[in-house]
Amino acid sequence: MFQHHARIERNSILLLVLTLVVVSIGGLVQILPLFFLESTIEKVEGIRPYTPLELVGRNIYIREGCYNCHSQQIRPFRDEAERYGHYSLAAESMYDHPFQWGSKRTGPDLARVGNRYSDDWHIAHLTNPRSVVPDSIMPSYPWLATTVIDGSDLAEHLRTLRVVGVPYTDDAIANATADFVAQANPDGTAPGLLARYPKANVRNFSGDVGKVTELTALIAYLQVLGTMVNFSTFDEHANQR
Amino acid sequence: MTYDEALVGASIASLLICLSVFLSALWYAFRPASRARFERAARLPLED
Amino acid sequence: MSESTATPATSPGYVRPLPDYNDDVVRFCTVATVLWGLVGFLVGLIIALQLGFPALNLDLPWTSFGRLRPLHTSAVIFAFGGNALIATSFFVVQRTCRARLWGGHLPWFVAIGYQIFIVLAASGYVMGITEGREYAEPEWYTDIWLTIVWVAYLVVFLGTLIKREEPHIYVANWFYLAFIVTVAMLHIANNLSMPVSWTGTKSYSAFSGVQDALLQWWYGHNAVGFFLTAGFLGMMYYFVPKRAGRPVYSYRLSIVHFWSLIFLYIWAGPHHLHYTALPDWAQTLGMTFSIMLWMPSWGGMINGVMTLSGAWDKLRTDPVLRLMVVALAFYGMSTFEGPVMSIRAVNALSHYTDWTIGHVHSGALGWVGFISFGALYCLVPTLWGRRRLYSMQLVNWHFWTATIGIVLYMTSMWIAGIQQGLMWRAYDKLGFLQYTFIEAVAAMHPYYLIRALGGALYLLGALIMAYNLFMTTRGLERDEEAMDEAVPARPAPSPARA
Repeated sequence: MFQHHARIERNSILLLVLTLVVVSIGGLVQILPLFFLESTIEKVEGIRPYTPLELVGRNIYIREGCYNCHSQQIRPFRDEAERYGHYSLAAESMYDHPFQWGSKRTGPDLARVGNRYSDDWHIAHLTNPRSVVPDSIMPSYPWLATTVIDGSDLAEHLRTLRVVGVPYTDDAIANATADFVAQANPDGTAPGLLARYPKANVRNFSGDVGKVTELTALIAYLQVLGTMVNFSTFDEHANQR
Repeated sequence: MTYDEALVGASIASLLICLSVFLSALWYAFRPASRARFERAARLPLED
Repeated sequence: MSESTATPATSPGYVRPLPDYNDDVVRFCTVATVLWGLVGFLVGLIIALQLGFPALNLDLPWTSFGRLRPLHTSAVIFAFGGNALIATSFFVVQRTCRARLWGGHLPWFVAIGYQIFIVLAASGYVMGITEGREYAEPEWYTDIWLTIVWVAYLVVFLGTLIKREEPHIYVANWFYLAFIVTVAMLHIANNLSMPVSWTGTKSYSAFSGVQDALLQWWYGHNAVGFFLTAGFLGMMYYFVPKRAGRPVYSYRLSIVHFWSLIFLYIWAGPHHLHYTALPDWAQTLGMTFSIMLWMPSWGGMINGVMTLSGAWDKLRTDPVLRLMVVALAFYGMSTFEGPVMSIRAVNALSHYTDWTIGHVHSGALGWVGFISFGALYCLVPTLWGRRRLYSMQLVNWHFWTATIGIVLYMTSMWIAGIQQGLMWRAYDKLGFLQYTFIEAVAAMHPYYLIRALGGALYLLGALIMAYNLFMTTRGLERDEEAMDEAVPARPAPSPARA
């Protein structure tokens, strides 16, 4: 009888199993429904996977740890709507592996920074933030403009993303590197790019001729942020959570 | 199962689980049979 | 204490010979704790200064804030905290089980493998190799390595528990075990990702958007709950009674504390995602459980502090014990502040601001730091077979510099955070936003400097500790006025207050 009562503190395996059970319950109840319930992420018109160039830019954003100071998640408050724009929708980050919502605004939110500033402003700002915003405490990123990317491994990146659920087509994967070059150096030879990535910005983002630098890619990413959904035609109530 | 049904189910289940875990922990800790063992156990750090 | 073999008054009869404890590996991790602690605090000071003076980013990739900040968080949490946990858990489990660490050379694999993990992770950060999710930045190859090391850690710990000589598993080991097994679960679930190539460093998370966010904050919050709380509570439940020379105030309370803490903590993660695209029900659940967490947290704090009941005079004479009791006070404070910040209305103001940074540091510097320092001051003389610490006066100096540092840090970040939050949402008479974002940034400058000063004091305290511990290992004793360092109860020099 004594043995029976003393089981928990006598039996280390039982203690281990009970602990695991207890700590699993909360996680399961909270996390599993999100994977099975459709209403968490409705399809919203306009959301598309990133172009290869934007994807490279996004990876630079992650590499430089921008998420440490910039959020990408606008909350449904009046001041945030006026400062940053419409609150963020779940669907807007559905192709973000990983998500970059952030947790701190040492700098402003970037969820809808796309098309807010000119490419020239971004070039100046990323190279030396204090040249355009004197009080800025953001680091300078001069190496972005001097680092050239060839994008030869982009098909692998797209294929990997398809494994985790981003709907890149075979066509997109086959043309990954060509699309990467074409988006930044438009010469009219990439007819498929806009078909694969509707409404993508196609232009020479950073003034580089005949090459694509990290600066180009990062600006291409920043300029698409929050621009995919057209909020003049978006139905708020269809997305009530 | 709809989203709302899942929600109600999850909250009832979690309330019950929460209660039962807490009550069994209380029962285990305050049961008179444990007293002597716990008093001895509490001295373990002082004995090495 | 391993040398003393006195028969405990309450033990049932016979004197058992002490097992041949494996203390070499504990010594190794103790040294690692101190060294990584200094690195982590120093990098923290550097990035604090970078926010005050952006020129300190040096315009170089590997010294820019975005790469150094993960280095700081990982160095203090995983390198300093992790080594402190491995060292103390190996020390405590041997003594409370009266058994040598199980697994032959396996404990050494854990200790050295863990340092390799730290070096892999840290070198990755400065080179820009990161998964880009806070506190889980290491890339896939580092994650796999850590998984292997961690499983070995679990096996060593569990093996020692299984072959123990004591019938009862002491409650500190419950906390350590919960910490080890839950961190394993969190780490594996949160780091599921797909490498682009088996020869490259880059991988993409298996999840995206909302799911990725919830999983990440389930991980992030429980890393705080199980790494920085449960593990260090294990430390507290051994070293506070040990140092005070009396059993924990209520062993029963410690058991209720354990079960309710591990059960409630796991639900609270979504409070990091208030007002985001996460569904409301998950946010509400997170908030509710966060508020309930207040009870076990304070139960544990009261249990620790009341252990000194009847021996309060030791706070005056023993600065090591004082460090640990103040750690408990900070634990109580930050576990009160946390639930308040999880209330959606408060969170609307506090989220995204430096208030969060202040909250984290009151827990990290005050609770995790101080309880670890207390444990280190207890461990080093024992492990190196010294009669006492080199200097109690220096412990006292460490205590005060670090405490003043924390107070400066917390108060500056509170004010900074609330001011930031208010400036962002302020409207002028005409109904326009009153401040541009950059005006709020500029307003933070003085607070960032005060914070850096606080961090510098904390680092200075840790340097004093490192010097003190180093001299202790060399067997030196500073000739100084006694502060009554004896651990077993000894009459206080002046009449004790009841």
